[in-house]
Amino acid sequence: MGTVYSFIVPRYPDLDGFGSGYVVALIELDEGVRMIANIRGAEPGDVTIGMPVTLIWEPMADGYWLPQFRPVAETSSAGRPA
Amino acid sequence: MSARQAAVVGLGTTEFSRDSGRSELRLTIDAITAALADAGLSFDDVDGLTTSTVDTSDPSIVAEALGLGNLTFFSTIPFGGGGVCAAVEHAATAVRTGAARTVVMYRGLNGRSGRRYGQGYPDTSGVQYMRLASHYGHLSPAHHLSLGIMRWMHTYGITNDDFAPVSVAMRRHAATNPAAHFYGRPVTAEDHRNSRWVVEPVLRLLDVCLESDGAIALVVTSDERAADCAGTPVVVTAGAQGWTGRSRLMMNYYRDTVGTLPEIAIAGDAIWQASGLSPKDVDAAMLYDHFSPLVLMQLEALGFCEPGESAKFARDGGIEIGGRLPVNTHGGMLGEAYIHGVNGIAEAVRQLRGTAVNQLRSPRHIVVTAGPGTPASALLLSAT
Repeated sequence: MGTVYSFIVPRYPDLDGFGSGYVVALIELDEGVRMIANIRGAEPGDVTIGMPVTLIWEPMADGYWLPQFRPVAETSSAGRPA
Repeated sequence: MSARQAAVVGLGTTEFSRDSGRSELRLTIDAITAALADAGLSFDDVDGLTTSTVDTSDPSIVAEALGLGNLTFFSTIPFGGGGVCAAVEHAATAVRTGAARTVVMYRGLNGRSGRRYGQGYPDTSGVQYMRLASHYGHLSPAHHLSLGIMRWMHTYGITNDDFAPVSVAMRRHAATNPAAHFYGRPVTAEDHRNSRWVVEPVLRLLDVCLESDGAIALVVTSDERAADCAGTPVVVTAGAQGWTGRSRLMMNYYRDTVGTLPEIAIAGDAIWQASGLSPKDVDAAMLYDHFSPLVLMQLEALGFCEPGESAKFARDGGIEIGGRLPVNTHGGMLGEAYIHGVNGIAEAVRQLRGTAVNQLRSPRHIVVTAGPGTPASALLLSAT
């Protein structure tokens, strides 16, 4: 668990596999450290600084798993690992 | 202690373009040749070379291409654009201590026709924390710096509209500078607001510097030797680097306070202390403006205004020619060209010589910065 400490929505350059309107966030974990991740399961316009988020794991093409975050209040399954 | 001073006695620039049609080494050689001619010196007078990293023209390659003789000083400062003011200070230190008599500082890049930083770094970047971030689509300087800038905006209630005065002022200064990309092309706050997002909600297109091809070289020698040079000398009054012990390349996300520029503050404090001068003694500032909010944040870090007050400072015309602190009278990297901030050093030299296209009235002291958001550096240059 943690909160969004800062975030941006990169619009340039167009990157393969990222689509438009993805969120890069700096997450402050409850343990007191910060890490970069994408916010899944939320529209970019709904992300705010201070928003509570929780960890999810996302599979990568090469077989590794990437830590990501989603809003705590989000109930949809969007963005969760398959 | 030696009382020897160091001075910039020569300045050489190529044209700034989107396609130079020649190699980065060729650009560098052209700029150095012009700088030595400006100084009235020859290749045989050069016994030192310096640049900063992220330059494909290593001093050894440049020395060979120029056919230089024995060198007693050569250095390459880390952190790319953050090191360009440091390179001039290192040259000046070599001259003051006698390690070298005449040092050339140079930088040349095909930033538009060659490697374009705005396209982002590949995940093969040699910097591990950057490689990790690239998996999240976080991989250009605009992305890296914006995540910190966003926290500063949040802290002080600043929005992208607050950057329009910077964006507009830089293009206004560039509009009367024939060397500038934005020569003859002023923009309005409305143009700024209508330009597309690069990083929402931090940077629009008109907040972003101009990928450019070009090169600049400066010749630094002692004050006694400067008296015999053709070019009007400009004194390197003070110079310093800034590092917190935890400073990273742009991704300063893990210290207590995010969204300030302690590296610039450290370098700034050092030049005020070394010179005995303070912000009120400075007639202009050439601030590294890869992105317009960094101009505002540097005004705060250098002590020109209080934290959170810079947006008002700019809105009130403070950074305009004729304002309290004219900033980037050549148009900066937002309006003239992105030559890793060396064009800001060049403009300070021209202003202090009295040869700038947008000449201020008899400036005495000008501060120049390099690389806010990375380990940084700053210079204080003075008229003789």
